[in-house]
Amino acid sequence: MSLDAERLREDFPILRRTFHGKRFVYLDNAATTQKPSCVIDRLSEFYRLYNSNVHRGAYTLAEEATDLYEKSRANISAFIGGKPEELIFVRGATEAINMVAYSYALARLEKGDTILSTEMEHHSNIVPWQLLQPHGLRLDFVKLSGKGELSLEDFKEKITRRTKLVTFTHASNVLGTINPASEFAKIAHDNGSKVLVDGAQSVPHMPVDVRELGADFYAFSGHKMLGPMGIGGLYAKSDLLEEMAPFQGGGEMIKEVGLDASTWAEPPQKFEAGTPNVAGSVGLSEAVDYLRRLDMSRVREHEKRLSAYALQELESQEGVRVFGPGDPERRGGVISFEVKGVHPHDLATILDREGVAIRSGHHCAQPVADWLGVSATARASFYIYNDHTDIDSLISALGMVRKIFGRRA
Amino acid sequence: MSDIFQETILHHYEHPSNKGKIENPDVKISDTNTLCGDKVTMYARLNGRVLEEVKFDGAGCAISMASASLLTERAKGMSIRDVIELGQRDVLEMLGLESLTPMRIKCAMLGVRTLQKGLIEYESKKPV
Ligand SMILES: Cc1ncc(COP(=O)(O)O)c(C=O)c1O
Repeated sequence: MSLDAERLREDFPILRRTFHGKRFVYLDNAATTQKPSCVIDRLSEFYRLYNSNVHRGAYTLAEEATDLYEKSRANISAFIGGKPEELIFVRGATEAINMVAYSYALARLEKGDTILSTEMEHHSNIVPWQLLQPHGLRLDFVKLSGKGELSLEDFKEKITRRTKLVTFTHASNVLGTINPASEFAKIAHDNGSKVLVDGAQSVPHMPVDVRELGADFYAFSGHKMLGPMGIGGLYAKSDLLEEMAPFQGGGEMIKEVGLDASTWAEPPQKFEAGTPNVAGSVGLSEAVDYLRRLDMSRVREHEKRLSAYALQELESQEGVRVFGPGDPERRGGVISFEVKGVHPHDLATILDREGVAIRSGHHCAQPVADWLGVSATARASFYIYNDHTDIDSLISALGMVRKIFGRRA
Repeated sequence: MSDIFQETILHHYEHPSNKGKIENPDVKISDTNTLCGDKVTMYARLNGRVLEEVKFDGAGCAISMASASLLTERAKGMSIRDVIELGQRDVLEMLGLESLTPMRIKCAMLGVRTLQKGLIEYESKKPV
């Protein structure tokens, strides 16, 4: 059975808003998704009934809050095929990647070791590695090729004995490309390299099993999968968590503190200094339950169908150029495009007047824009509550763009 | 209707005035709007303290390109001091707009801010 997006929309209060007198068509889900009432209610319930610090108090309320926090961890970790103690709560994918950069790469690798990233990455999977370069770690990038796929040949060429960590996005936030993650992971492992996968654009949209993929580290953001902002996860294999140095120092992450030296708590606490985002974890766990009820294979099927329809409709528009792979089997529900003669920002402004929210810019992936040879693109990205009517609204709003910039487009 | 895309702006976007380079300019300065990826290069030739010729080059959204184009017309014949004093209100007036969102104001101000920076640099380098 396919998803009934129209029915699902009723779960999302924000989608009842109107903008400029028009029905709200939200097509910026790659940036962040909207939240269903159950997640919003769960957050408020936490603060009304369960608010307390965790891992500290001996009173009942503190135990309830701790229990909720740890149950959320187990639930969210299981959602991607991990064990409870393999999930570190972080602010989001960005913090997760930075944690691997500092606690693993900087702490465990040696001068001259190489981190192999790719040209397809979000800035959050480029800049943290650049910050390690002054410490003697090297950085290299797998090239983009074809219609926006990573070049397998280039990957095989760039991976060397010194490559200790390979890091790549599971799905591109600009091109929509879904990378053959397990194939890449296998090549990396055969080379003796560890593998970090940026799952910010995949966990929300398709079934993910970190073990099947062969990821040593897996990063994701809760706010892109119906959850609250400020909570996300880093999955890491237990032996790596043992090996890794702490990320930040403070409370929660210690076993014993002396004035000269301290010892660390066991993972995952070792990596969670300070009061954690307990409410966020509970909200994200609720979001995960919601997605599980929908069934992630159906979510993926739904987005595949929408992408196929959107690709076909966009490509039939005069003056529209769509970027990224053409085959919906190999791409997610993220479609970047341009309209000849109209800057993406102007496009987004006109679409906004029609109630259609899309993104314009380089989408925090400037190397991808450079590869495409553009300074910015327009991007429509879909989720469970979008359907054909939203794409029809997008297409008809593009008609307005043509009307305004008519003499050129 | 998208009232911000009115005739003046579309006209200057499609048929910009003074687009191109000045050979051996007194002022040549580039800047970008990182938010949008708008890029402009402003050129000026001076006669004493007066801008005798102003041109721009670049690529970007209609607001940034139209305002740069309008600026080149406006700034020609003005004194360095007067150009440096141009503010948001002047730019909106040139564009024929009452207001813009904070994001779009940055696009509108890119040309004028860049030219002002170039003129200030020029002044600071010049012996009195
Ligand atoms: C592929 C990818 N990686 C990482 C991130 C960063 O996520 P966050 O800003 O939630 O940390 C994003 C968000 O846009 C993304 O699309």
